[in-house]
Amino acid sequence: MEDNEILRKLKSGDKSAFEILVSQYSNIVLNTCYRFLLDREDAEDVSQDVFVEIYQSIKSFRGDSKLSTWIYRIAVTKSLDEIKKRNRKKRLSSFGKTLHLDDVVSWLGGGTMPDKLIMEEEKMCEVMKALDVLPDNQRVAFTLSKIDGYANAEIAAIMNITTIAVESLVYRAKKCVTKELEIILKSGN
Amino acid sequence: MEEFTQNKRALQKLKEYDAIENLQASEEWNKSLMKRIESTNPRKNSELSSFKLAVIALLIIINLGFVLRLLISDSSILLQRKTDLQVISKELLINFDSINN
Repeated sequence: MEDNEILRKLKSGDKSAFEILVSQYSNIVLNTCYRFLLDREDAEDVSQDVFVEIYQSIKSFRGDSKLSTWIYRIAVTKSLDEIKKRNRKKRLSSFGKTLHLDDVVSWLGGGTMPDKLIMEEEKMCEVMKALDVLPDNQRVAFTLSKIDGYANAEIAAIMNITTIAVESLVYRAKKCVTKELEIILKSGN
Repeated sequence: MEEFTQNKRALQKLKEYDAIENLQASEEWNKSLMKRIESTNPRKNSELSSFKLAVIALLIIINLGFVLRLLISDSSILLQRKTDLQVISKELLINFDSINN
């Protein structure tokens, strides 16, 4: 079914159209979130949030951009929000560590805290750290460029910039990430 | 030499990142999403926001009315005081300008 047809049906409150939309976009939204978060569980939660947001605000979508661009933009925004939330948690937990709050929480809970690190995240830990250094626009362009299904023109539409600007952002991001990875790997030795 | 090795390792890590497998949305994920959708209502954005805008505009107009009324009544009180002072000064044979200054 064409995007315009889905959109028309969605705006009229047709739930079956929403199911079609989910089947068409679930994989790319899930992979977009996953590339940003590198954690399957988090990616699944955030991609559900993306579809709930789509469902809730479909009536306010004016159609200035393509439906797919709008959906990917929501996925990117939600993923970046999740990263910010994580970073806030990390800052709090490192503050807690200096105060030995972990021990207190563990003692109060009557056991040890569950370790939430997932395998992929551990494996990609250094890349995540290197990506954290990038400004948001470089991070978005770089991450989307790694996902199948995003051409530079699509990334440009999502970010509301030109294709040349996307190429430049990806180039600068790659340079910066490589440099940062070298520093991280060096300090890890 | 060490720098070269670090660069090689960094590029290797990036390659690993490039090679991350694509995920597929599971049936369970789909079901749980549909459950969430069942309990969610679409926002009625446009109606709500236009109603809110109308209320805000009304409140602003009412406030402006109050301010204007206060300004007008203030200036009429000032005028009244001025004429009162003029009368008193005339009665007491005092130069009104000297009071004002």
